Amino acid sequence: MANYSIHVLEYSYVANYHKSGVLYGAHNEGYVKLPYCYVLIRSNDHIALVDVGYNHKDYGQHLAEKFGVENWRSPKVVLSELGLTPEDVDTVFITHAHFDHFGSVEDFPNATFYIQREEIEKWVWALSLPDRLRWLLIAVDPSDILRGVNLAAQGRLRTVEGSVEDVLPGIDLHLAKDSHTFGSMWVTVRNDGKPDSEDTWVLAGDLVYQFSNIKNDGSVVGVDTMYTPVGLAIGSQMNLLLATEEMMKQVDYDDTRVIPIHEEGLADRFPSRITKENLRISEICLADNMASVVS
Amino acid sequence: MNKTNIHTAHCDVWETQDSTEPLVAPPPGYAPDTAQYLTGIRPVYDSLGRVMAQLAGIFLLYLSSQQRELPLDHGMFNLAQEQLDSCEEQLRALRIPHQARRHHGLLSEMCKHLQQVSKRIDSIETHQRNIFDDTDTRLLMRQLNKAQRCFIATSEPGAHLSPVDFSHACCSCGVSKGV
Repeated sequence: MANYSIHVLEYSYVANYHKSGVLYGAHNEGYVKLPYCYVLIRSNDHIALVDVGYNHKDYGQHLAEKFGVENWRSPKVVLSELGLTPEDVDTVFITHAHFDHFGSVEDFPNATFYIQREEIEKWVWALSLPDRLRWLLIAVDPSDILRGVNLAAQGRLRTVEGSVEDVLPGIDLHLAKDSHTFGSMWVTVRNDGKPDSEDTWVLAGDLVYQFSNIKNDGSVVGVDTMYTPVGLAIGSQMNLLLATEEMMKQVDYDDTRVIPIHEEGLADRFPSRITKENLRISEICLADNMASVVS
Repeated sequence: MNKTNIHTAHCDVWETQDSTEPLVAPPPGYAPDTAQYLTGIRPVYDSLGRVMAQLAGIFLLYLSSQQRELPLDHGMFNLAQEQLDSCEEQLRALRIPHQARRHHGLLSEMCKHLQQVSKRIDSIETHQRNIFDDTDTRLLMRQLNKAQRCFIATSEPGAHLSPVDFSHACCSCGVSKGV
């Protein structure tokens, strides 16, 4: 029995991204394509997203011109490929407060948002520090925090402290403290709804960018493969690795069940298709009663 | 904030001399007096953005706290207020070329809105009152939203006045297009 369908929806991409940004220490190893995606989790009762992409309205053009972020499409266009609208989304899990994950909240007027309290608290703390510590504020848009206030005032922002089970039936949230960001979060879907699920998926946010973060060449330390953290850690690489271990433990070390959202190679593991907007939809799994949207 | 083992905003550890002078070259493509203004305004712009986010963040934590307690690191709040006062002083001290009057005026307006926000947040703490009701919340948010509109309207990417430091964002590892 599978309660949820899970799809990774590409909404934009960077064609040439330094590999060292993906994989810690991979300096001078060229470029990879970096898709920008959010994840749709859908059942008969709920339509949820993991992250919402960036606020193109305010700075999309700047990103496109300066950093080569290409082919951005709105949530309305992206979701229409699955016969949905942003208004249909009732729940959003924000994995962290970077602008490219937390920016488009205004596009989802009926959703309740979940974010780790640690993430908000420490950003606010970091904002109060002297300029020489500004690196701690990378990729944070001050206006996103304000959008968060608007959500909170409407009663649509829930701050989570640590791990929470069954936020939606069979969906758990977990904190990876001081890792990619201060309070990064991953989402675990127990798709059979059981406490000791045999059908678990982990949606990793930016704790894992690509498959190589889970299974990288380990010959340098004399092992076949090893975890290797992503290129950016506000906290520590150690905490990223420990979070990876926790995520892997949840899926019984089946690395195909930890889903990175910046991974072009999802198409090699899961059914997928390219939309007319030249963006990919990857079908991670299907609920029992749902038809494929990629075949 | 007290749960964490990090230094609070008012901790002495932060009170060391800042060794780095701002390295802001006059932005190209502007008239000299405008360029001088933009160079001078940049730290004020950045600081106002941070103050706005700090105040918004403090209020967000209050709103999302089930107990409706103000989880205020007082040093942090006071620091935001000090930074805001400092921004106002710096704004007053700047020489304003004709072309930048509207820009300067909007940032001054942003300061006024943030001062209102700060007063309202302070009133929550001062009174620890249950009478901070939906009307108060609406008024505070209106001021915050007005401040945000000023902030976005005064962005000037050519002069490095940008709401987000994109230089370290995930996307910044992309190959720059002619920059």
